[in-house]
Amino acid sequence: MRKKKTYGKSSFLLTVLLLVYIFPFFLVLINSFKSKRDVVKNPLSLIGEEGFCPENYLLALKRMDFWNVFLNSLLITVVSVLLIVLFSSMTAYLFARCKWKINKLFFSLMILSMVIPFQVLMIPIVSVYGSVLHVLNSRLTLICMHVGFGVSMGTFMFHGAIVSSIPLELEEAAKIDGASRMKIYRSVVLPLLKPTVVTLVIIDSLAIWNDYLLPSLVLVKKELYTLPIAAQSFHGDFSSDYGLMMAGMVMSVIPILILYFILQKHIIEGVVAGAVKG
Amino acid sequence: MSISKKSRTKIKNTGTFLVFAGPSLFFFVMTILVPLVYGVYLTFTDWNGISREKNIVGLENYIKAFGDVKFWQSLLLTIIFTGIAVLLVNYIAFHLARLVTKGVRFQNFYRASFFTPNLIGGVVLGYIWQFIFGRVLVAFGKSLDIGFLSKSWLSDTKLAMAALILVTVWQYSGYMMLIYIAGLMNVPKELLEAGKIDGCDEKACRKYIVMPMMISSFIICIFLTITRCFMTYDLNFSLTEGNPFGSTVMASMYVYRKAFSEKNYGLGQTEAILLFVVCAFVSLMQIYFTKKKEVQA
Amino acid sequence: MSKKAIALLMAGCMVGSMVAPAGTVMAQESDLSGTKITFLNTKTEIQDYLEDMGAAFKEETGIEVEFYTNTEENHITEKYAAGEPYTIMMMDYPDVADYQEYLYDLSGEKWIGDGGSQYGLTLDGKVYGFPFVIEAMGLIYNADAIEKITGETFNWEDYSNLEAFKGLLDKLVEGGMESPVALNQDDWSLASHVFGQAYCAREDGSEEASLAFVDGLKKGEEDLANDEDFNALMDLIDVYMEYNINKDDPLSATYDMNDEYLKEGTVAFWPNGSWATDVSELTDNVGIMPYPMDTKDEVNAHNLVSGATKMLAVDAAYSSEDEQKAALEFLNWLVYSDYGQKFMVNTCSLITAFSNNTQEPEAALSASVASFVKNGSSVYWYQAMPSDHNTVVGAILQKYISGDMDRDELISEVSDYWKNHE
Repeated sequence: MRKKKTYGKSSFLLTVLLLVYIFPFFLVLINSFKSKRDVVKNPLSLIGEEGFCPENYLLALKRMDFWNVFLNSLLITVVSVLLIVLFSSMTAYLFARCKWKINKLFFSLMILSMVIPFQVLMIPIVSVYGSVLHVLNSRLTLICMHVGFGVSMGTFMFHGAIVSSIPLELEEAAKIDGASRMKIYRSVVLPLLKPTVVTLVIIDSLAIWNDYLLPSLVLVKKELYTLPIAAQSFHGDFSSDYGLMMAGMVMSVIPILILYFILQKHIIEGVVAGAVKG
Repeated sequence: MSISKKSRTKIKNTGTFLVFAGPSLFFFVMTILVPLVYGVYLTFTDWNGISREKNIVGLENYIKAFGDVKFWQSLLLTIIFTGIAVLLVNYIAFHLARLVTKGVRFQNFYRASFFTPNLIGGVVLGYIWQFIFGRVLVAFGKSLDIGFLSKSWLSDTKLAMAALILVTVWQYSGYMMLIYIAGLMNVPKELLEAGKIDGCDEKACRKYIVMPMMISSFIICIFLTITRCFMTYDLNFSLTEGNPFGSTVMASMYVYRKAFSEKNYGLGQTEAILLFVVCAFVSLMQIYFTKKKEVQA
Repeated sequence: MSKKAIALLMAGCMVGSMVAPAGTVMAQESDLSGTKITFLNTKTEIQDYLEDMGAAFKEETGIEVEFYTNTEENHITEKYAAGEPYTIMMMDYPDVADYQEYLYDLSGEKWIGDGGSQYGLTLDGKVYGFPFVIEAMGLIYNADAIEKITGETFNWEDYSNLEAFKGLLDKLVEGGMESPVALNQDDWSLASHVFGQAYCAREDGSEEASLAFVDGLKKGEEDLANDEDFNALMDLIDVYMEYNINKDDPLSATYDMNDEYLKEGTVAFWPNGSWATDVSELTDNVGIMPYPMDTKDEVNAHNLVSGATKMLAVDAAYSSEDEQKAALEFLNWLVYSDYGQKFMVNTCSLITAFSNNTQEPEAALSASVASFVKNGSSVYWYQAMPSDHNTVVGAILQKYISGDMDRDELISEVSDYWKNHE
């Protein structure tokens, strides 16, 4: 009986919170189907006075060169995220298990680097990689930089997870069986890190998919644009084209939502994995 | 004999280091450390950000930065903002995570919904919230005659800060919730079962079993919120633009304006470095003190 | 010369004359064909038209222009730091001076004689900015809304002093328009477009008068409290505040809502500028007038503050010689080709700085500005404010319009601001 009651209370609380959290997103959604005047005049109405405006989506598709830009974003995000997860989990494993001085040094540097205001690096990055090395304007350069920016947080998160939830005894056992460090990492550590991997994939995908600043510095040519840079074309000096902008935004976030729903299942599977390992 | 064994271990260790840490450190050094060194060098110049001419001016920018009262004011504002936001974000995020891992119906749907704030960014974020603060809440406040809601929050210096905090909490709590969920998932079920058998009720279980196991999640989340709040720029720019009367200009926005709008790159860069130092100090203290409580699995 | 060569030559001439439409002067070096240049556009609203124009230009000359749009403040800075600037950049007036060392000296171009020297941006005796568009700032009115209440045709010249203007506002209020003015609250709008009048509408409205005033401010020599022209503006701002539709909470005004209020006739007046072209979306009976204030020499009774605001500059530091040549050819084509002329005035409703362009703008607001510019009824627009002017002076003005500051305090703070920029 008691159990049921608490669930009822939780459900009620959750529903109220839910409405508060999704209200702004709901506003974006309904306004993406309105003309600019209707967005300005009455953002709350479901359908604008000038009528239902699905052509916002068509216009946004055309203006942003959507499919090309979408593929760029997809390629850059997928490759960067895979590399970040792979590299940073390996590094975190090494840092967590081998207390060498150099490891401590780099781990501290990585943590510190997460605190650097991006503005400090902005102009230096374009100066070094543009004026000196001439490697801007390439998806590969952008991917490398996303990895460079992403490994710190990845290492930090995996380090925390390894230290607090992977029992040393498991590794010891594998070691006695003669497994190499790489083998232990692959067959013992990585599978146990699944919840963290999934979380990091979501967080990094979102960050890279939506990142505007870094790509805008690296990619100059139109054919290389990612979604957030392409959406920039709706911004005006004094006023912006809100209907189109929101339509563009809705189309851009759908892939992230889909990714989220797919991966969610795996967060739950993490429970099972966690239960088995004990 | 022992020497050769030692050097063999050393070679092996170097190999291990290169394989495991090499790739990430290479990208890390190239993307962050190299530009950072150049960026620090620029703080010793009088560069305006545009010209080909840069003169070394020694510590002049640092002296100027220390005397720039408005910069320190913006930093103080940022610290207050961060303090309040970090507490609220983490309190709410942790409890959200708890609520959506209990096994309530539709919990996946709830999780996804709490996450949606992260999907809105940039100008749209500012526009939507300006509308909510400027018109929705005002209409609501006027019709119910609630004093503090009958005027736009964004036109009052204190309430505009409150608005920034509110939107920050809205945006980051769903994000941090994700990390807390992962942390809760890592708490072995057997431990909880064992605890229950030993006579712990839900509260006691949380206090003695869950919380200690969650320390690493707390470290990560608090660290992330501190750094993000310290660096708040996008939201500051799109929601209040520093208004009213420049009362909500936080540190990131201040240094950005200094460097780019006022074309004083050297000084702006110097102040950004100082911002970095302060933020690094705060967040490392946090890690240091929380790490002490961490338990090894 | 062989027959074959002559035949080829003739064929070439014929093709050339067929491709080039009447009125085109520029049909020369075809060796630039295939050159690709880039163009940074900061007027997002004309991006689509620009792209169409680029296609037409390519057809005629073989030069490809790629149009980019970005309104971020530091965008050009980044591009220069990367060593990859655009060939042609649309810059705001003060930016040109910042980038001077990288820019191409345009003084020798043909268009200099047709308005380029008057409106272009000259630094150290050389022209670096091609005047892309002339804009004006003033008081936008919706004549439909006014006429509906007064019952008579609205002629702005009847209300060009404060008393008459205030009389009209009262009449509008009586007639049921609760608040006839929409006042912006954005710092840039208040600082450079509303308060900015203070630097322009002085004495005879000449460049010298304006520069002398700002110079006096910097030296701390201007006595604003007793300055007739300055107080005339402040008196008018007080009137704007009194009749402001956002009066209850002046700082909650939004640009887009104000635009909407004027468009629909909820208000009759909106202090803003000629860039707000979409106010004529519902009625063509809109226009822009000088601020109705009692300046000493009544300069603004007839003259509108106007000037070239968006400058096109050509990069000389990183672009190849061919690219620079192609950029120059493009600018020439904008001024002298049929397509270019129609593009500027008809397609984009811009007011051109070039006297050889005889097209008339159709959009109501632009036509209204053009009528001033054509007659030479202009007040010099002071645009060389320090880069922190909008944030600092904007904040002062926000305090003023929200009632947190009186005129004396405003004067002392504004005076201090300028003294610090000596």
